[in-house]
Amino acid sequence: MTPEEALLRIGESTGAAVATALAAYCPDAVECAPPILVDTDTDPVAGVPLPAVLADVSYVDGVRGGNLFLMPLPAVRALAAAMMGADPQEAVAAGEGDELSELELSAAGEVANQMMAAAAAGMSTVLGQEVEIAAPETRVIAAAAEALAAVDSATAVVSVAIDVLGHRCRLVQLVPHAFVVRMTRALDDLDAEFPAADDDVAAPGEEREAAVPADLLGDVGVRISAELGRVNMTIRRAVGLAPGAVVELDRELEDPIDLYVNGRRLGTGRLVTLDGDEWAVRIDTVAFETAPEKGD
Amino acid sequence: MARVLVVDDAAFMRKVVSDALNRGGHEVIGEASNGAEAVARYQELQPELTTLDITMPEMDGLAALKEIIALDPRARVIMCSALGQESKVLEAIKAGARDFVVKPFKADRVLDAVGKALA
Repeated sequence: MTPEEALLRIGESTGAAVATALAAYCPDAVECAPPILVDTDTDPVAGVPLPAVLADVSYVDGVRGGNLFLMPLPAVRALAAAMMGADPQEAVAAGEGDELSELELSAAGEVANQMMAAAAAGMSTVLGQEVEIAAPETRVIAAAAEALAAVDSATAVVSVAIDVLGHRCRLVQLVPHAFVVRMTRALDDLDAEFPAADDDVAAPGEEREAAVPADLLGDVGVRISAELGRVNMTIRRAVGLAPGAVVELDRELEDPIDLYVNGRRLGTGRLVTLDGDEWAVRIDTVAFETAPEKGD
Repeated sequence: MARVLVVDDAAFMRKVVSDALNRGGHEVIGEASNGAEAVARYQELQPELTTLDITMPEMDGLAALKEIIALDPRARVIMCSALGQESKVLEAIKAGARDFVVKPFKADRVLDAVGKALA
């Protein structure tokens, strides 16, 4: 893989992690464009109306590098409203022309913290070491140059356009060249270990690999399994099961089944058949558990 | 119903957590915006329960947790972490945190954790 490809992969997976974190507050209202490499002729903050709020989250300990999330003022207002459970459009209309409140600025910093924590976790997995983030610094900027003061000749810049609640925002990553080299090597190793899966429908009972495009883990293979039901019995009865015995499960025919990713519950789904001869699962709900499921 | 200290560097999150606690009938007796302040406020206010963010300037939540537990081994502390900080959460539980909630969270999840920590 070339360093450029590695940079695009970093941009793509960080963008996906960021979009996923944002979508927790405004589902269906986040869209992430493909990353672009920024050179002297491209404007890394193209399309974002200024002034805008800049949330700066640096990686510390594991790796070095900066992540800038640039949001125009109405986007911050809308997102803060969504995070509080209020109506984003109404909040933007009501606040038209007003300065952002401390609370709204703080919400921007908080959401930047949440999305970069998710991105850092992906980075940790790829590199095989902890990557930590610093607390976010949030300020309002009036010119793009203020955002990019830290860029020097030893830093590559990747920019990802992310639309949030109808407002163009941008994730701008400042990636030191030394880190690009490490990342290129780590991604090459991963690709050799886990070739990308070609399709993402898993059949029940069958365990296989599928891709999770959530963050830098994007190309790491995981096992998706579908669980039809459970039953508790004594060990005496279990060891006494013979061919032909019928074990009743705890679910009705119409009940949803559970889906697991590497043992963690991903959500629920319905069994369907594909072309009449292959089992498949249609996802009903997605609620990824953050702790491994314990058998109960 | 408990007297609670809410610690987070984001004023926004302090408000979200405080609102949830107030709705659940708890009393927020103080707030802190970094780990060092959290330890000082803990000593001063002696809360029955503390919610502690992990990523904060000055002193992070994990370091603050360890100091609070050293001061008061029976302290009830709930960690608030962003998704992807599982290793930190594990370390916090080993260091004596009672539970954790992952941001973004629903008010019910906070109250649930608080209820369990007080039980």
